[in-house]
Amino acid sequence: MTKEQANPLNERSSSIDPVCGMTVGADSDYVVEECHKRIFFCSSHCKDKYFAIAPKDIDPICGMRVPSSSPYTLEEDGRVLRFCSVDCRAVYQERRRK
Amino acid sequence: MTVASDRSIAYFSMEIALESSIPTYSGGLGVLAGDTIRAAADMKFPMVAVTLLHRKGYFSQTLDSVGTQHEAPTPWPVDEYLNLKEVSARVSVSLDGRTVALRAWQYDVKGATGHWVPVYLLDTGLDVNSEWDRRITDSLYGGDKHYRLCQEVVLGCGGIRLLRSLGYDRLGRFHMNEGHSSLLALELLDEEAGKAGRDCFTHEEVELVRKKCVFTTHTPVAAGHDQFPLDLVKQVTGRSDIFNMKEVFCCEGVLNMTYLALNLSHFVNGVAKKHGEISRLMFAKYPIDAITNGVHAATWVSSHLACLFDEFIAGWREDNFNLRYALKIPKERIEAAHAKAKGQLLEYLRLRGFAGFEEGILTIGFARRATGYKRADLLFQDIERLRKIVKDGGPIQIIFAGKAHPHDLAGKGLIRRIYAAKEELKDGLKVAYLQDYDIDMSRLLVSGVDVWLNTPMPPLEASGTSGMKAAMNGVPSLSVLDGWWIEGCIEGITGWAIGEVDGAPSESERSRRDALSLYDKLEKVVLPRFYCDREAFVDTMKHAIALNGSFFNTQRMLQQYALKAYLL
Repeated sequence: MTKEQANPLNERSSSIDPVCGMTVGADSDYVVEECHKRIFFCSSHCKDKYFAIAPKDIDPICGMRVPSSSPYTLEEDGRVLRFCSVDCRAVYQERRRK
Repeated sequence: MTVASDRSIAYFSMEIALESSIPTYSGGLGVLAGDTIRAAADMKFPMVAVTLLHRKGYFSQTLDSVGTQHEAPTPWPVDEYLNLKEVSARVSVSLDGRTVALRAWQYDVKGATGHWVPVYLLDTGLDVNSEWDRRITDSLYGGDKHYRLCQEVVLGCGGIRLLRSLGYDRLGRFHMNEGHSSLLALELLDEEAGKAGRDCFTHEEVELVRKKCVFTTHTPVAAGHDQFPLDLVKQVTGRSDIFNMKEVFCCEGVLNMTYLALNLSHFVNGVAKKHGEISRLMFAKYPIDAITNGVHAATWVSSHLACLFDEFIAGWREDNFNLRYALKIPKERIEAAHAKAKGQLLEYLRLRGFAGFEEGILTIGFARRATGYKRADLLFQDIERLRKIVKDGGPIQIIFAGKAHPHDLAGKGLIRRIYAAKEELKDGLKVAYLQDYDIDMSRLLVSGVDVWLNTPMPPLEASGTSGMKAAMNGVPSLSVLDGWWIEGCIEGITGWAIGEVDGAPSESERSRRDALSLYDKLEKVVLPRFYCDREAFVDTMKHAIALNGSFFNTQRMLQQYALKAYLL
């Protein structure tokens, strides 16, 4: 199986609004794209709330949203990168070295 | 049901609490797994379960005079357990390029209606294996990442192979209780590819496996998810190509077991509504539902209260929803049954050298893993305030229990702080810290105290289940609003809330506010109700059973799994 053949998760016919937990169809008008995947919401209210309450930082390796209290950080070009774990940070550093 | 091929749901968990004398569990995750299987047996679910043998157990805890924890292995005599039988099947897995042979021991969990669920405990302790390999299934959460990954290969890949060799060939659902068993999905992918005579799997096979897998996540913190550096994974499994498939394995360079399970499950859930929300924000691209945990009623209700239920609530064991009829039980009978459970607990304390605990005194219980976020010392933030509350509002006695993970230095420090507070308060109120907490002690505590205290730092308690066990015994919770208590708390009716749901600017400020709220609630609500308004206090006890016991049980939980995850 190649990467292109794999089923992207947003092909599911329904999803769950990450804010309110409601089941929403994958045809919902309230959608945002994040790391090449689509996140579906039941309403503009939940869509707006998502950006207000979700942790701001995204681990650049695994894509997990991590809280600003995460101790696994790196400073790069004057900005702070946050990771979910020491492992993801190590992978990032390794890639940078290459 | 006796035929393996009739069973359709396989439940995998790194730990399962089968009984107190089999120390194959460390805490909530294992006890939940045990309760789930006990409920599945009651409900005649076609389930089979897989775990590791953990021959050396978790550990036994002793505490010295200042509360320093000392640990010792708890090897248990596997061969001497009559209800544990070795199965003849042998399978193997490849680890670090070696072939490691596995066997399994079968423990049948019997339900209230005679049905049973077989649990297979995997064991590498075979002579054909090297000495190191023989120890892979010895220690629960012991060892380094390499040891843990070897255990996870045994659990996930070895578990599937064992089930197949025993004839479980019609399994339609594979339930991963936390990410430790995620490699089972990889084994299922290999099976599908193997059937077609290929080495690598196709998009259709990924979909096929996804339809069969169910994943329950229990971790509300980013750093808590099990993951392994890819170099280590390649070394242990001898595979390298497939881990580049980001859609299945997520991240280049790291194998994150949570992502593996998220990518290969058709149904994913958190263990309480709030935990579902937290998980969805952490992994926004995945549809994560929530099924709030429960506890197994017949296991956790004290014998004294069980007799009362038998008299007033027909069929409460078979159908836990009936516990709502606890409201019909006369108050004096509830009070009398609880007094017996309390007497039993205080006798247990007396036999262990804790003198001076009295039946008429408000007894607060706090028993769970000793770790920082559970804040066992919140009650002792302001010793003088606590002393004053007791002096003005009435006496209190407090019983603690819980083990700290051997590497959790903060958790160990917490036990020492409770010992220090106990010493400081010795003229004002009695404090006991029971050592070597286990299921039997837990049963005595949740049924014998008057109020169950729970003070986690939100949102770190994914669910929590001890308060549910207390509720079933008519013991109301006094708890921070986190995990299940956000759903279970009806103020003054089923118990009492500490603090607010929404957070404070910092953890220290949150602790300060929560401690103040705890003192206020104790002083102004709980103590007056316990000592001066018995009618109202017993009414709270009854509502804890009727509203929370009837809902926060594994029967309801499994019905939701059936509806949302197993039958779809």
